Amino acid sequence: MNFPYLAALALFSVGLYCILVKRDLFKIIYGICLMGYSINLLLISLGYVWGGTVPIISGSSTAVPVDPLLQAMVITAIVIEFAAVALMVSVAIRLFEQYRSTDVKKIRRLRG
Amino acid sequence: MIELALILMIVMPLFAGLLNITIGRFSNKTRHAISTITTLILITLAAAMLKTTLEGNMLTYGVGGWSPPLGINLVADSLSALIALIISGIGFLCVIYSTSYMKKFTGRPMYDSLLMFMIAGMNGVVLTGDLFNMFVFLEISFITTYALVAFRGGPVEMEASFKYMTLSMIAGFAFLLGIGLIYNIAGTLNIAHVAEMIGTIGNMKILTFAGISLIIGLGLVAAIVPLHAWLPDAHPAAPSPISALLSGAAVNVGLYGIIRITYTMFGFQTIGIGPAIMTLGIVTMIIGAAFALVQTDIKRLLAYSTICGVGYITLSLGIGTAGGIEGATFHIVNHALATALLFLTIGCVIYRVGTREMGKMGGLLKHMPVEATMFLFGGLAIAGIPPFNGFISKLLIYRACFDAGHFVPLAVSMAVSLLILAVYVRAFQMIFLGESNGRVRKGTIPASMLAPVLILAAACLVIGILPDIGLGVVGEISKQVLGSGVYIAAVL
Repeated sequence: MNFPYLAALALFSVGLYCILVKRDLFKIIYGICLMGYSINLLLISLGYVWGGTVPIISGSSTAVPVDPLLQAMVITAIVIEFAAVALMVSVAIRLFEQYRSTDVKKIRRLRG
Repeated sequence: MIELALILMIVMPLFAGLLNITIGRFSNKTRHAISTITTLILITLAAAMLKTTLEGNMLTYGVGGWSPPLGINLVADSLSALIALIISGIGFLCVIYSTSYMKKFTGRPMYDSLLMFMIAGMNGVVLTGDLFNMFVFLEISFITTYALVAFRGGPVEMEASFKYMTLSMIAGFAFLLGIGLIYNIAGTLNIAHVAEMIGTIGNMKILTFAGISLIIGLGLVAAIVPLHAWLPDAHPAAPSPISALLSGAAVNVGLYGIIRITYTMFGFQTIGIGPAIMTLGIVTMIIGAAFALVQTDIKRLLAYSTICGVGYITLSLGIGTAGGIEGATFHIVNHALATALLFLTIGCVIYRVGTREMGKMGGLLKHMPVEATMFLFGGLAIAGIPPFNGFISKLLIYRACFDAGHFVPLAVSMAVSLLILAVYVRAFQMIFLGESNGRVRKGTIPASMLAPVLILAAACLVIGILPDIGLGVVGEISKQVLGSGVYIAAVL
């Protein structure tokens, strides 16, 4: 029963590891994507009812439907992530053009 | 009828942004007219909302005719109306300022419409009564800010933007996680409805975790210290009017969210994170002031001084008394006016000198006496020297600390105030006094850049000399924030 939560935790950890340890701009972006997926997976599984039906009310059916609100939220979140990640990739490409490298260590004109 | 103002505050700048990239694409004049008129109307609407809400009437609007808690609703109490007024006011001044400042840039249609979208996003965060809707508007303002920070297109700007993106994506996920958990335990996303249910929830551990997740998401916007790393990079990289809008308005949006979540939704005593917030505030102000003292880039210095100001507001929020909220809201207003003033003034200086390094400036007093005076005004206002506005709000914060018996934060915040004064004395000396090195370009500052600076300086001085109006407003606000029952009753 707890499998989706554990999977979400594992995905989150992998994503966080990517962001913290990897030096490549695109690997950082993958890490962010993975973190996003883990949150989405968690939200979906919070709203999932084992043995539930599709959340469409159809007269006589008495089966418990899964929670549609969380699914709607996840779709919205996916769209937002898509926009943000697209922007991140385009900025990363511009950075690559200017530094000829995707290594974070070489892209370091700003001090803390 | 005034309820319509709520939806217009969000829809009008969105629509203006669309007009700017379609029919405004080929004519600078059309775009400026659209942006100026829109922001002027926003100011009028926000002022009308503030007037109504200060009389004790909450404004609510059910989007699409669906009533809460099922539908998404927009709510304004006096706090939201005040922050919306700050956003629209500073937005208006930035639009005016940008007409001259952005002349040498390409892609100005995009800039103008992104600015409008950013205002729409921030207004949305402030006016919504629904958690998930708040997330969506937060992301709208995030994504527009990414593009605006990277607007100049150089390597440093791209790097700052990437850093900001990475951090704020993580913060956005934290916020989403908090929303998911709140929905799971409370079964609703409406802030007022959650607030009503909060007493019946037994699982305090998940509630606290969800609260912390939400505060992480909003704390990044507000640049509270472990989450501040993006701000000193993003502010210098962005064009000056955007820096002013970021530190004058965007930061306050984050702080507004924290007030709304901790006070209205959870009830301040329920999750008991007051001491933690106070500690964060103290750390934030110390780090801000200490780093500001060693900067050589003037916009980085102003960015760290913004962080220091956020520290004061956070500390004041953590106290949790009526005096604390009064101090925090008053300091939000004063800090917004003063930092916007400083960023716009420095924008004028950079316009003439063409560098951000303080070491390459010097002796500018005789070339730019007006800007020097305005910089002094802003610096003294931030440091809290009478007769400027910062003095009044810092006094309120000190008194709130004293009344609640928090003497260590009181002593630290007074010492940090001195440090910030030293920061601005040093900056003034490096920029405006000393030997001139002849880097000043010929020409004058256009009137459209000088006017916003003068308006902000006048506002700082007027609030400092006549604090009674402001004190009345923040007194009513703190009453409404602490008495969240009225908010809940108005929405449901």
